Amino acid sequence: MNANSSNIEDLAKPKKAIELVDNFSCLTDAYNFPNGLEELSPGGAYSWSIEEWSGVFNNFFSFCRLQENI
Amino acid sequence: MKHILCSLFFFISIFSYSQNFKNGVVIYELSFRAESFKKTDSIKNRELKQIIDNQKNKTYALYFEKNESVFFEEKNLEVGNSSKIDLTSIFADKGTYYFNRNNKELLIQKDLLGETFLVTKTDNYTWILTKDILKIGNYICNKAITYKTIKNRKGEFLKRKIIAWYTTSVPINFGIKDYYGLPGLIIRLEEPMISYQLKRISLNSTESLNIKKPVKGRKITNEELEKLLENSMRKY
Repeated sequence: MNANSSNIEDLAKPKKAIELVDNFSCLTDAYNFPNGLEELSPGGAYSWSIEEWSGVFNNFFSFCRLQENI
Repeated sequence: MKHILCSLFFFISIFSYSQNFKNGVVIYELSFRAESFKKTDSIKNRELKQIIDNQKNKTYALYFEKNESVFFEEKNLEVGNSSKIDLTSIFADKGTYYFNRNNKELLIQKDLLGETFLVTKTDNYTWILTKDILKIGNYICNKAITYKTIKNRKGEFLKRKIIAWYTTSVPINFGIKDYYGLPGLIIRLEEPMISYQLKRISLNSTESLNIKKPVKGRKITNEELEKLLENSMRKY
């Protein structure tokens, strides 16, 4: 997956840049979370569908943002 | 020839018998199979394990009447559930599944990427009926196996084994999600990370279940939806 190309373009926009820095820790954790879980799952690494991986990613990201805002 | 005639007779009998059930409501309990995950001792993985072990069971319902069925999650009113990491719902492939056995139409209504979609699926599963028998509750069940093809993040196609335990004592061929076409009701369905088990069943209600085909949402094929998800992931 291309981790940064669109993010680098976004850094040129100040508002977007602040948003990205704000979200950076959650983004990193959210990226690592489904990967770690997938490795432990019955099929191992790269055994999930795109929908499953992105579902876990989005769920973790929302959860992380919510925790940070509390 | 004799075998073909016997099989034909068997399916005609099942079909005619299933006509006796004019409608039904089948409730399943969905659980996350924490035991299927690898055991680990590292601190990082211990945290993941805690999340896996804390997954809550969900309730799903299958309604069928005449030639139509719907399968969906029965919402509970638990406060604060949405703030948790809900792996069970993600692997359950959350959505409302509508099936019409007359024209084999299968529609899946689901919310993804902030939009409602109506996913059309044309292919169905080929079941391998085995001789394995298991008693689940009061039902004598037969084992059937099928394989679900999934596309991973690398674009590779993988086969996932799905096991269904069905009973011919309730000969209806509607099923859980898009797993239909067995000669009896599915009592337990095992996917690698989740499993559904029958909780209760009620047949032949005098009131109509009034099954409605979902209409809200952008019509899209399964393949088109995968492309959309792939593109949305590229942002990261």
